[in-house]
Amino acid sequence: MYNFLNDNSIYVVLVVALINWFGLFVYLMRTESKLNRLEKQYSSNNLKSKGKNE
Amino acid sequence: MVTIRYVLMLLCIVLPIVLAFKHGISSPRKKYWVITTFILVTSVIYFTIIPPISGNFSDARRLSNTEDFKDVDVSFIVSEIVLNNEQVLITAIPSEIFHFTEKKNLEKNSYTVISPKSIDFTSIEVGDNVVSTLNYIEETNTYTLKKIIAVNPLLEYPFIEALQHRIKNLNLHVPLHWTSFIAYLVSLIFSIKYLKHDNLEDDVIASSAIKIGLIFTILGTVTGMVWAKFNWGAYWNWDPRQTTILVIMLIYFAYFGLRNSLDSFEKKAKLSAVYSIVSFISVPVLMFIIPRLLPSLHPGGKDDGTTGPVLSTQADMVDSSLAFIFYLSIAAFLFIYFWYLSIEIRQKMLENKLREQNV
Repeated sequence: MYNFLNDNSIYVVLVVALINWFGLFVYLMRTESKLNRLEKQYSSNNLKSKGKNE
Repeated sequence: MVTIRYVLMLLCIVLPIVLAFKHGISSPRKKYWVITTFILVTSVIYFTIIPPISGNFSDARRLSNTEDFKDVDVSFIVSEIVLNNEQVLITAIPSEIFHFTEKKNLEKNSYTVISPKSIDFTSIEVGDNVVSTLNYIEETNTYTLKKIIAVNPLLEYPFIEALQHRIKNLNLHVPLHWTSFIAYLVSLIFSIKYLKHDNLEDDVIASSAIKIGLIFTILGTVTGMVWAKFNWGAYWNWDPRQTTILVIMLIYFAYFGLRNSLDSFEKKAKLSAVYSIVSFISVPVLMFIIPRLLPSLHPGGKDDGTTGPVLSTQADMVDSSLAFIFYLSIAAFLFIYFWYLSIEIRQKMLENKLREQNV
């Protein structure tokens, strides 16, 4: 693997580009899960306030 | 030409920042932002991966005689094509593309390139700029063509023996650190604003700016490590630049340590604003000054002739095509940064609002 990447240096560029993309992707996934949690919290809050009103 | 380059550089850095501030740093991104980011990222990746690297005839001559021979792609302009029975004879003039290895004595004389019949020459005309792999044969003082890489490429990256295609990593590694510098600067601005106006929104912006900036710092470090493995032999070399970026990373990790250890919102915001201001003072020193004072593996260290390939006082140090895509790449990463920043801020605000409701 090392020798292959050493001889075909364009693939090192590809690896670097993929690392960048992957890092930004991980952030998106984390944001997604956080938003899911907040949405759940929001809907439970709404249920509570409805209960109070009644 | 040199001034155009600097104007372009300034534009690529300043324009995303100005647009982000004008638009409201925490407001949702508009459609033009999404489209610009998409176009920028696509073009940066395309112009990073696709263009060939091209040396000149002296590179091919020099490297054909070395023991660990590697193919050299040479860029030339075809001035005459003669068909023989067994081979094609091409008269080639070196194309006038600036390379920082050998630009002062640009070769003006023509060379004869011999190509076997098996290579298809029908699409190539006189006057075309051809990038092809050449072998030098010492006995006959001729070059044989092994493979055509590209015909009339839009861009060519300079050939540097030690770097090969890895020169293109410049577009994917350096802008990340420049972006993170802007991120810490944004945090500084909003920390000062918080201390002035006591508005909790400014604190949210300051902390989010550092969070996204840290993502870029980490990505820059990891990509740098991969590059270092192939150029310097090890992932981590305790090079001055690597060490200082580690220190910056630790400083800003400590920022979140400080934030999370406090319960009161007011106290948290005030203390972290002060910490952000104080820690930013060290960032320019660690990023720009110390690595230039010490001998370094990175370009631009002490006693280094190339004095840093990008921010050099000698403006023609970097090949024009390389510089152009590099600036586009900075703009692309800044657009992504401000986009992520607005997502992060809005999510934090929502979280705070929900917490207030619960209390």
